Amino acid sequence: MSSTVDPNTFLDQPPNLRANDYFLLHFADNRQIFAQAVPYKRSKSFPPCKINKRTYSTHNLIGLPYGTVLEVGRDELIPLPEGEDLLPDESDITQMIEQQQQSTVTAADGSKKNDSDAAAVDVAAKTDDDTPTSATTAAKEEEEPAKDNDNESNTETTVPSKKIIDNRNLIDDNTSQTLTQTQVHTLLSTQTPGSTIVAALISNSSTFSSKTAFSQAKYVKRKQLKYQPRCRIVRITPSTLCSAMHLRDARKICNLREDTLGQVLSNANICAGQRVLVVDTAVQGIITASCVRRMGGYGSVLSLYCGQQPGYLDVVNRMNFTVMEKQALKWIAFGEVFGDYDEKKRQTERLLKDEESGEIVDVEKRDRDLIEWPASLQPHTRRYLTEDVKNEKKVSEFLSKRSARFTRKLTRNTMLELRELVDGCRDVEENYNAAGPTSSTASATVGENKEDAGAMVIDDNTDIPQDVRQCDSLIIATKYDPTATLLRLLPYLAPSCPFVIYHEFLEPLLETFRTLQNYYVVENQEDGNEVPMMRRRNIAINLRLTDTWFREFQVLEGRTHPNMSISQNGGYILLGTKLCPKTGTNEMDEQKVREIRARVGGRRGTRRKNVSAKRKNESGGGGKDNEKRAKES
Amino acid sequence: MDFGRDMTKTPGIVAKSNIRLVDETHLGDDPLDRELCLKANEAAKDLFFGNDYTTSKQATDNSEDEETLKLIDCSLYNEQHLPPARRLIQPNDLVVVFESFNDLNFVYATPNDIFSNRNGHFHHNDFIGKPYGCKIRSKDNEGLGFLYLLRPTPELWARSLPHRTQIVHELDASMITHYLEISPNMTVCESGTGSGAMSHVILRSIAPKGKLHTYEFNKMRVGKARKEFEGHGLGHLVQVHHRDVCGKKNLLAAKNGANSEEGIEQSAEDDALTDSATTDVDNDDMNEEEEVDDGKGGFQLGQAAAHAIFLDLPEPWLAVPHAAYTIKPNGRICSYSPCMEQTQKTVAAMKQNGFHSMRTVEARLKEYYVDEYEMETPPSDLLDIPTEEAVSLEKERQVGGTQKTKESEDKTDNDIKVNGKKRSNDSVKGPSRKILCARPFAHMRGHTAFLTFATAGNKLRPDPNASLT
Repeated sequence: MSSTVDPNTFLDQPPNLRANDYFLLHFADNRQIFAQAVPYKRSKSFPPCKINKRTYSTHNLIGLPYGTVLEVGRDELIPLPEGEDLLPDESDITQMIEQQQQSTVTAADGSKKNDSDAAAVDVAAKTDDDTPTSATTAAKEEEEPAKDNDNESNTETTVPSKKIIDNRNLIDDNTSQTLTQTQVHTLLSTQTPGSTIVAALISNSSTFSSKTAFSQAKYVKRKQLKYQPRCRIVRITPSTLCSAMHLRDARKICNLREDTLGQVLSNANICAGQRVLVVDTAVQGIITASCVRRMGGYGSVLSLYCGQQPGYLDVVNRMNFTVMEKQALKWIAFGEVFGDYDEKKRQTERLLKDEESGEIVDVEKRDRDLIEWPASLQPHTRRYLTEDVKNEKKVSEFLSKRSARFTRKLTRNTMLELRELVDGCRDVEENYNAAGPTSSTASATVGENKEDAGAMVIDDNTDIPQDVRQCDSLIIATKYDPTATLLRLLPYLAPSCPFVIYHEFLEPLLETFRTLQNYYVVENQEDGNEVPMMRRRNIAINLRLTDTWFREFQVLEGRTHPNMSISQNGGYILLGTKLCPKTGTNEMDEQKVREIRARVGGRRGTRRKNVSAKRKNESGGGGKDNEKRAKES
Repeated sequence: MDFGRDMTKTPGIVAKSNIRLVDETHLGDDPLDRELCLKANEAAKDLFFGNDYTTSKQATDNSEDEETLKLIDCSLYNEQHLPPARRLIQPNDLVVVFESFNDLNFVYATPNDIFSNRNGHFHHNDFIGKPYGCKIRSKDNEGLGFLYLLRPTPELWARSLPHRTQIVHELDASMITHYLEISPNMTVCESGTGSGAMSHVILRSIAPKGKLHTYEFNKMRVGKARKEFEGHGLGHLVQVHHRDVCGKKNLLAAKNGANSEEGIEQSAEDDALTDSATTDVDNDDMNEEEEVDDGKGGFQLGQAAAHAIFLDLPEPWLAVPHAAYTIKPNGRICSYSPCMEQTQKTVAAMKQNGFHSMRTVEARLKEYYVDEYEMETPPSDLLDIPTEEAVSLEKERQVGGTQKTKESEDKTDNDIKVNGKKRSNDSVKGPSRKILCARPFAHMRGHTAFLTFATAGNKLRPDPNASLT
């Protein structure tokens, strides 16, 4: 334990793909596909990677650095050398076209189908000889990496400048391509390299030469995407996970866009070492996973789930968590928080109380503690292995599965441990509220605490043990009523800490917003008053309801513009900061404030009156001032 | 700020599990037990080194050094937490003063000091010992004025800090940390420091053992930023360098000497530097400790040192070659520029320097104004059909003009009332219902900057300074 090695620094995200790691494949056409590096060539249970309805094995990718570009071959994913981009170099194609144009003059103009077919395949074979593999071309490029950047200018210069090149002479009658579909299929089935097909398509297009340079580049790109598909190995991080999930099915994650996720994390002040409470049943655990990664295995994430176990563990596990991160993630059943507090205690006692000693015995924990690593074999297991199985390979398989199972078993929190953890959070608040009269009931006298200010300065951390601390931030993204959820969870949050609610729709958040702005509590019921006093009490400030307008740009020399289609909405965020339940409230009642204001007058007093008058007049129209003031608690 | 504090270690579930490497003969000499121990060790490796470590090792290479094997011991994997957030305000704590949503300020709670704003005077002595998140009444005006005291977070700090420069706004800052994929213990570079708003956001994400190298060419800002970081208890996470990462002095000198090979345009504002540049450029020996800006540019951290780089510079494209040298393979870079021209040049420079997956985005925050809105049903009362009597009265009035007798006036009123309701604006109100409404604010921040993100290639890049000298 005294070792100076910090496992966290060692467990930094590895630069290379490990066996069983999940990763993403990013394509040039913005497709993003999940894959897993399965070490066997053939996987029994599920395909490691599925592209264009084809299954690819990923065993050959283990050990490759993230960021490697792969060519999607017919049967396998071929890693390309460093320096290759998702779009192959165009200059190869232009060279190839030049060669082809010399030899296929007859083929290109021919309406005789058979002839041109033969010629095209012929050409394909020929160029195949000229550039035998893509690896050599790649090697060639590596010598001159700068070449890549001159693509645009290259294409521009190859266009003859004498002719006016635009669309004025374009005849769009679908006859410009003389290569037929069957011919392309023939090329594909003979495993012709993609670049050859693209070159053949270009040289057989009668309109290609009359296109503008930009439009030629666009044409080449389109064909390359289809016939030379490539992808890049990308690490799964909060942003890439969210964007891939969003692409796949945005509705499944309640339209949570990746930039909104970033905002949620930032506004919730997520940082290493905190205790964070997350309810993200609506977004497939993405927020939980992101918090864990942001915290790097320091601190703990309490994530609520409903049912027997979270239904989105597969999503969360795609992050390839380290052991520290796994330890930091603690799944809590919904009932632990939303269930009846006393009933929970009764249940614990009923089920786990030891009759003799009267103490509560955590049976699960007792069993776990009994296991001594490396978990020696029980007699019946030993018998089973020596007598029934015998086969050496099967025995070793059995043992490794058994060991893995025990590592999981030994590192799993029991239900009672988690229950204590959660209840501890709440107890802090309860005790705090219970201690002494709240300042809200005592009629506030200004500066009442001046004398004991010095006495109160104690480091109050010391008396809060680690396992009963309150949470440092709260994130809610659930389809349950956000208002009810928030009000139930606020006691678990430490004062002056932020909470963030994500919702797909605006309206549920309006209600939450309004409730937080005008929160009333019942007071003085024991005075014998028939009518309970309702007092407006602030429980949170810094409320802000937002959504984000987000757009991406195409940035190319002379062709920069926003993307033609962008996401219109990425969900709504309501954020706020919890106030101290005792001293953050409106301790003066409105009557008293009015009296003081009448006495004091002054700018503040008068201005306030005007505001309320103005607000009535405008009744919703409002200017910026109105909005600003509405935000003041 | 809280995230700069030391972590406390407590043995968690993993540390208590007693999972570790065991000898092959741990359970005895029986071959089955031996096999079990071997398998247990493999499982332990998988647990501590992640997904199927053993198989990955075989796929790459078989060497395992002793340092690595030492890490297979559950007692190392304690739970690490920040101490629970301080509940009460201590003397000299940084406190964010929340006056209203748009007026945030900050104070260091100094005994016997006074904070004044338009709501009144507030004594720091009242702050000390109060819990964070409390409401404080003013000393004057019988306590009419009030404010809230909040625990600082980088977001609240960004809204209250003293602006030395234009700051990176909250939305952009959140996107930058998110897309740069900054996580704990990373090494990150930032240029320039400016007001330090973005630095705090990055620092929060790299705590507890990361390092932020932040570069600023304005000496005064460097000093102020250093003081701020120290004051917030973040000094151990950050190093503020006084340096121009673009190395414009050097570029200028190179251009003056021989024609600059990269053909970089020099902006006019550097004219003043020209004189000193020629003398400074010979001064090769550089002292890291004193942080002398030798005009060379670059991050001076060596090759492949940073996981992520954030550039907030007027001419980011000049810093891109340096960034390419300093960044780790597959690291992430972001450039923050308000103008599209800057962005275009930067993207071109990134392409040239081996970056890929360029992505330029822009985001705006749309805030909503929420109010309860009372909707009345449209009035349904019928207008009076003029009776004979009323018409004649009307005629009489027109003829009589101003010579209205009191008598006739009274009569008119009575008559109309007889006919039904008054013909006034007070029509019968239908039932109304209240609904909650929201609309975007009338004003918004229209533009902050274009954010360009890119990933570094896996090939190491040469030091651009090496080619200059």
